[in-house]
Amino acid sequence: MPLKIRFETIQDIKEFRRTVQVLKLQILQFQAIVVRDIANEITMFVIHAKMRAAGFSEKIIDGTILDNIEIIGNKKIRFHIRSEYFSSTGFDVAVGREEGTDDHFIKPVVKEALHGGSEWPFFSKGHEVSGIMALFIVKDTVNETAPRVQEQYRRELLQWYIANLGGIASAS
Amino acid sequence: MPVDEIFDLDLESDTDNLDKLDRLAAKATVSLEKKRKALEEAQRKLKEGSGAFRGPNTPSVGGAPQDLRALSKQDKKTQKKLGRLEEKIRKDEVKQFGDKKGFLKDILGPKTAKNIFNIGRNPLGFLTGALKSLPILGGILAAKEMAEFVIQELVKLDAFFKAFIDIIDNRTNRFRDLETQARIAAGLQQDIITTADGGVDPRESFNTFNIFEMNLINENDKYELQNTSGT
Repeated sequence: MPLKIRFETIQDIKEFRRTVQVLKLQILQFQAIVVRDIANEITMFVIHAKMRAAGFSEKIIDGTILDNIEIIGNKKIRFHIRSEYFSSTGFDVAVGREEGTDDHFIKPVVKEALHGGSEWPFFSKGHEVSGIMALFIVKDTVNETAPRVQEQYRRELLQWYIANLGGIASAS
Repeated sequence: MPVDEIFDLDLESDTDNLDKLDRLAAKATVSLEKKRKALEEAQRKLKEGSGAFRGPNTPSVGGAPQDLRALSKQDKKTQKKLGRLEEKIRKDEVKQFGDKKGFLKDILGPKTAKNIFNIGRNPLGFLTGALKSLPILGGILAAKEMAEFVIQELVKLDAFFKAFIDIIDNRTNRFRDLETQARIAAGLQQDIITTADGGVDPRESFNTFNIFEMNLINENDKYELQNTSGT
């Protein structure tokens, strides 16, 4: 939906030029704020929802965040979405859930034996466990939602222009 | 290494875009300002009329053309008559100096002669130009006689010029230039012409009349007229 600007008098154009100077000062701030909000509302919301649906730990969900936003040149913004949660042994569980694990051997590190709780009421000095399937929730969701983020940003930008250019601008 | 996914967003609009928009708007402003001025000028000319019919001397009645079409017809007539006049002058010249074309070009200069058509639009300017140009003749012709001849012929041309001359004659003050008259007509300037001493301030003028009247009353009181015819 393109932005349409209608000038009826020379005064309108002069007014428009003054407004453009103000917009030039404000646009970077607007972009920095709005793109973070949009990415949080769309991409991060979906990632967290999918993680909950897949039974991820809340600690992993809390550790999955929209991290840095890089401004590349004048035309591009790069989002970094990070997911990490380290166990006491230093193993990144978030990576394990995202990329999956092979079958591997586990053994107690702090205590003398492992206990499986009510579901597996046994003690173990160490045993082989099967790997977990790679879900690639972060990767897939980022790819899925990127066009929606772009579209939403375009809409917000249009609204911002219309609001700031006064009565001469409209979306056609 | 934690999970680190990236994706890029196209900002689509940045300060460069706005600069470009600004430049385009500046161009548009300049262009529109030019057009507006041209339009205003055209409207002003249309409103004022042109040539001898310009300004405060334009008669309100008497058929002075106010639109360009009527003036254009007048111009054509004037041009024809000027053509005949030029031919006549050329023949006179031929009698004295042989056949040399472009007589008026020589005495008026190529530009004036070429734009002789303008005489219908600006006779005063043309006359001034002609009078300035004629002394160039120097030893070739008697400039004074030639100038008078040209003016006489021009005055004969048409009611168009007669109207112009009449306007000149009917001026309240022939020494006021067009600009002064325009300013007076517009109420921007006030000129008081009086034979009384003193300044031209309106209050002073009023006082002058007042003093005159008071003097008259005093004289009548002091020296009553007596009818001496019966004695």
